[in-house]
Amino acid sequence: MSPMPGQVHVLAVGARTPLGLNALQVAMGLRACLFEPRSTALRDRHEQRIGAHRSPGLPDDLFGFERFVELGAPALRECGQALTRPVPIVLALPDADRPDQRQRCFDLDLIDAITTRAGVSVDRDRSTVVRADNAGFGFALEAACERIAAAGAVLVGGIDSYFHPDVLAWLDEEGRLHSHHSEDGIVPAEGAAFALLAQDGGDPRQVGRGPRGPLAQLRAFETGLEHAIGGPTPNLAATSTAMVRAVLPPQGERCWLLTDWNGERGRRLEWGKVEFRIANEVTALLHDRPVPELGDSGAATGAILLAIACEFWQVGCAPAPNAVIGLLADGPPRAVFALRAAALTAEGPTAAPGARTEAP
Amino acid sequence: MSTSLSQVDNPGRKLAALIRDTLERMVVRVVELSERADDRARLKATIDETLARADRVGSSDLLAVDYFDLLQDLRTQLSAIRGHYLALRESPTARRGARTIARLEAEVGRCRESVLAIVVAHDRVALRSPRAEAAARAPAPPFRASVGTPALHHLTDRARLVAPILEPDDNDFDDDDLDEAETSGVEADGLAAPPALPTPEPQVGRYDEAAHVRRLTRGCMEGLAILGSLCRPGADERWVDAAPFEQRLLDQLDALVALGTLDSAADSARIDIVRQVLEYAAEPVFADRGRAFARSFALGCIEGDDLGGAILLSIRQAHPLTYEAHRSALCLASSPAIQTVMRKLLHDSDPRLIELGLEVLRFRREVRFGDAVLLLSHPDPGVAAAAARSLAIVLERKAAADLLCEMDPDELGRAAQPAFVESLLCLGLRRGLDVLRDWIDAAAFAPRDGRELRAMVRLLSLAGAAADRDLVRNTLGADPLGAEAIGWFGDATLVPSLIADLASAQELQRRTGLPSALQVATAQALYRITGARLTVEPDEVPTTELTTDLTLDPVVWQAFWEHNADRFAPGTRLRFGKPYCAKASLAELAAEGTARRDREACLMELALHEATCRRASPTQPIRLELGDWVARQRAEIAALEARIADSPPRLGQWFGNQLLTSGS
Repeated sequence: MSPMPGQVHVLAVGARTPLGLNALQVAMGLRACLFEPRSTALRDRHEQRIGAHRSPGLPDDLFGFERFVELGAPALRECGQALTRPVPIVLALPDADRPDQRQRCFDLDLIDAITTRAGVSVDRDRSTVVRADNAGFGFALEAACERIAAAGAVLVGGIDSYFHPDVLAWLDEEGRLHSHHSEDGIVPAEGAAFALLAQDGGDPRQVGRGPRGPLAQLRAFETGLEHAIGGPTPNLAATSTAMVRAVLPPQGERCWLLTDWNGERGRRLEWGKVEFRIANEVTALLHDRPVPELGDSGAATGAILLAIACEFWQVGCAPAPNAVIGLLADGPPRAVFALRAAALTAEGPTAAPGARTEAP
Repeated sequence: MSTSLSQVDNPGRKLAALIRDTLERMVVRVVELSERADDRARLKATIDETLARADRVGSSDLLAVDYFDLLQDLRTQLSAIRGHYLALRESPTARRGARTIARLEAEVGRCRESVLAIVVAHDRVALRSPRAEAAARAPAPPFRASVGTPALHHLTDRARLVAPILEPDDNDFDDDDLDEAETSGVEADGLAAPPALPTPEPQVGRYDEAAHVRRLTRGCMEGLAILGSLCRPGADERWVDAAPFEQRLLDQLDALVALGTLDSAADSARIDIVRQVLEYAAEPVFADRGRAFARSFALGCIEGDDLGGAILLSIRQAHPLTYEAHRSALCLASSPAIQTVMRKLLHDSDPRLIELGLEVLRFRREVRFGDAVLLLSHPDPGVAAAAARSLAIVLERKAAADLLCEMDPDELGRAAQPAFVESLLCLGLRRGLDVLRDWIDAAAFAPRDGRELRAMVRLLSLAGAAADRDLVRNTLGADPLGAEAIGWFGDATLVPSLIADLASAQELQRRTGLPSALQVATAQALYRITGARLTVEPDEVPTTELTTDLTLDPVVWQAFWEHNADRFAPGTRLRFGKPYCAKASLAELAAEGTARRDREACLMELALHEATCRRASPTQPIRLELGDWVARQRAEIAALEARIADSPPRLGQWFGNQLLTSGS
């Protein structure tokens, strides 16, 4: 298990996706199945209009860097509003070889833009960008934990948008867009989310505790590479199984597994194998697959799932006090992290098992 | 140091409530005043403004420097309304309205005097109210999700609501419209759009947050409208199967309210969810039960006394075809303000609204004894029946029992008599059984409505005494509901006659080739009494609506009876082959596969059990309602289990032999 730098708490979260303008709205929107993919003006190889789950508030002619700023700044503002001093920020972004990133590789300039727009001051020298596709947020957490001992608190997040003509064309060429011709493709989406992490023992007055106090504890995280990807041997999910196994809650506690299962064959098979192997090792396992009801948010997925888990705990509708969030990149990178709800409130942060309902 | 005065002591608050209540009543009748739309529009604008000023008076501190100016403004506004009414004085409604407004103006004057007296009599320090200051400092409660039942949501910084006002042009229905709407399934609702909201300025940048939230809000409201009817199980559906639909409905509610909550001061998209709901509900020019449900349910789950006023107004303006949707929504909603709103409805002139209010209060167990007593003598039979039903669940059970015992059922309309009898029985009174027997006996001489008679025989089968055997057996003759009643009655001596009925009905089956309802009901009654599950192979079960896997062959039942008759002692009430006890009713009520109709009977039996076994210390009435949230029903069933375990079992007895002769 990767070493944790003492106890790390999630003090605040912020999110913006097509399901809502803040973390609470996103979580409740997911719970209410407000997912509404709409046709874009772009057409695929079969001359059919491409569907995407995109923010109704953003113009359809806004792409790339500016769109990332529009998504990221409000989420950062929501998360960082309690900050009283600059802290480092670690940001998960799409792979550098994706078409939109090739045109203009976002880096610290994106951090500058979103922090300025959000009015949140950050420690720019110790800030960085991490790129590992869907797994990127897990690697961002790792980078954040490396900085937290020195900084006391770190902002960590992810921003991504597949809504870009070149990116959609690239997904289409690879047969990855959900359509009549590709049933196991993804519904491209977009979003941004941030979490404010602080180390236990630090002075909370220096970072601000957020209006609600600690939301969760980051219990563990694991990052690694699945070497079977792209190789001659079949992918038996050995790495991801070992990583999930390493962060499972103790026996006797229910486990809420949130994954980036998005309907694509590779992720479906790999998460299926993981679930099959660990099913007997946890007292009660609920495998939640929210991505089909969020749309695929790429590098922002992990951060969005973290924000959703924290909100579910806060409002009392989470199915378990322990969450394990699993992220798979298209390539070898893999990441898993585990959260635990903050101390129970008077009414309790969790609901009965199965409180997160399936559509009847 | 703050010198705010407790709002509880504020006469302006009472004045504001009085003015709001009065004007909201008058608003409904604006349509009668003039045929000219511009007259109505002017009056509407003036009333809106007056309501806003009244709200300012109600929410202001008595020591505010401009308090008396506010009162003066309010009086001026009322004078303006009176002016409008006087201008339309050829209408009797306008003349009455002008007199009412004049009385309100006088009330403003009296309020001014009261406030002056308070301010002069107390110095500023003495007037400081720690409670009000604490309330002002208290943070808004955190958002809580609805799990199983709706949360009571708080929306911070929400603007108080000014009443939306009826626009008659869109709501002029005649009977033909109603008939057409009933047959087409789409109908009209009486609310018109509230004043349009100013569109918030978009945030710096290109994100139109308001548009984003509006789109999501609409999705939630459409979900509420659809799920409002989907989450009520049909007669042939399992009651527990409603739970996922209910939770989906609650998920929509939570998502809707969450859209009205933004923490950041820089958020430009704070949408007034309440106004969004009202706008959505007012869109169609025809009555829409789904939107009516969405409006009442959403408003009924958000805290705010002004929302109570909005609910009241929307019901008063609603089309009668949507009353049922409003009733269902208000029964299920979480706001305690609904109690106050429904009590106001009890004084309405429209009996349908009084009935609606009473039914909601009864469902929520919030009926006051005094209200029920007063309405018992209402000339409308629907209201009288609702009042009679309500008396069975009031806390003052002894007083209710004494009152009902002394009442002559003929004082009530015929339509209210079944409810009267049911309430007497639920209170454990023998008089209920006497009236019930008389009612059924009289049916032999005076023709009665068939459905009513069947309901009364069914009630007798649940609440009767052993001596009612012949009345239960003979009243309905060869009728499916008669057979069903015999099953509930549970007398083994009636088994041979049921088998004989089965044989007679088999003759008919031979001719038609299909099982009849009588055969199915008779087989089920035999099973309910004997507990003998004599089944046929699944492939022999006919694929019709009237289906059972119990055998319909009288020969099989006769053979069973010949070999087992001595197992069933005469004079013992049987349920599924065992002496009846309340636990059997509770088990059947709680079973997931029990049909709605059977659950109703079980609930009646449990009410009878509670009424008859707790003579010395009558407890609270049973709170279980079969139309309630599944989660709440489960909790009530668990509570009933504990109550029944604590009471004597009294095996095999009929309730009719245990009823009290009076309420004492």
